[in-house]
Amino acid sequence: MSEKLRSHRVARDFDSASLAVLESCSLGEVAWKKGECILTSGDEATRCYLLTSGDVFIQTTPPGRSPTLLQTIRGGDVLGWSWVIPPYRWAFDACAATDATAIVLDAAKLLAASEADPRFGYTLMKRLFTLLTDRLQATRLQLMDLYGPRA
Amino acid sequence: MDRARDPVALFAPETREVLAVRRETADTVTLTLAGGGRGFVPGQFAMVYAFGVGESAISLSGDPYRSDVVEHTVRNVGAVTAAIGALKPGGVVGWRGPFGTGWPLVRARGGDLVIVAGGIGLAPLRPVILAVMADRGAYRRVALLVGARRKSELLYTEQLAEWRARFDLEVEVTVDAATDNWRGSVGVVTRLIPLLDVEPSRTTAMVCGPEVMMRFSAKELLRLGVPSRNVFVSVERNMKCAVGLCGHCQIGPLFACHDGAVVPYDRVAGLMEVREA
Repeated sequence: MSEKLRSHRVARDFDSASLAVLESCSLGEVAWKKGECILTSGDEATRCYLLTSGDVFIQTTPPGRSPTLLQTIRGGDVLGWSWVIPPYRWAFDACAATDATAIVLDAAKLLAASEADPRFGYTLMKRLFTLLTDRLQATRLQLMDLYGPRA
Repeated sequence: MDRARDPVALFAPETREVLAVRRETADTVTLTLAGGGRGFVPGQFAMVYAFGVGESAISLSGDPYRSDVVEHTVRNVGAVTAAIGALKPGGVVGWRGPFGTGWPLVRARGGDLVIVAGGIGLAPLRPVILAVMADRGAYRRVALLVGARRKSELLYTEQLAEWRARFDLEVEVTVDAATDNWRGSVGVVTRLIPLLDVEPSRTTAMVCGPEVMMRFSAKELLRLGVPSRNVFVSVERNMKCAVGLCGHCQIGPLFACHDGAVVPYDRVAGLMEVREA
């Protein structure tokens, strides 16, 4: 488990102390079958998932319509940021696009550990911020109609 | 006289009959033209002339080992490409080429190869894939990352399915918008790069698509650890003479037609950041 955690993009380069704190927040591993629903928008965001394999769709379901796929995230990504900030509710749905696995972290423990050990908290938030920035920049490119004739 | 040294021959198009037209997407077709590609290197282009309308630089998109025909995948983006794209079998175009530089296939041998294509950018890379498939043992891991706006705008869908079915080629396809019942990957093609399983120091990357996409792809490749000298992009400008004389396709000190279209990223990285009116 610690090996899987250590090799994940979030924890890579963590020192042993930070890794130990992160591991203490772990709830173990989870496996989803293709098509299985993982998160539902509006539900309380109590967990952070470090995807280790497979693909997951981030999606939303407009009223009266089938789900709209917004983005695919993959092994190495983080699923779920909403546990970091109020109101601690998932903003979108997530479903397994393929069979997928993840390390599950307890969000309350992560927040408490970050408060108690700001060095750990800062390290964790910097890493999450890096991944979040990557996701934001990719979303901007996705929005700009990259392949249009004037791109 | 050697055609390459004969200035008249360089500018005088030869006539080529359209043998077949295959519709790829709503605005893109692939034309098969009679006559070989004069030993073209993947990545090179030809000037294709729609009689009475004008001439346009179009990448060679077919099999480089075929000596009887050439293929061009043409997207309708203006009067000339609209006229070329409207041709039927039996029609005739003017053709001169091949011109420009090619993808560094020889240099890539023995290492990992990453091919990143966005939109119509898959067309100039298709000859690379065909050449690699014909000589697969010469390369280690080969990954093809393809991005498109939506499913209906993907090129060569049948061939993509064939390539995906192979066990010696990693093919990832992603779209920006999941329309048309798309259930595959959603997101920009650059997001696929950090997840590549390659040995960066031994990787050659070939990137073709809109300049913004190439710029961000190159940055992701560099972040992955691929040396900048091993990242190649295909630059596109309005080409007229195609032989480095007229200057229409100038990008800073480079002529896209003569010094490119394929250039090492570290040679154009700064130029690709320059705003143009």
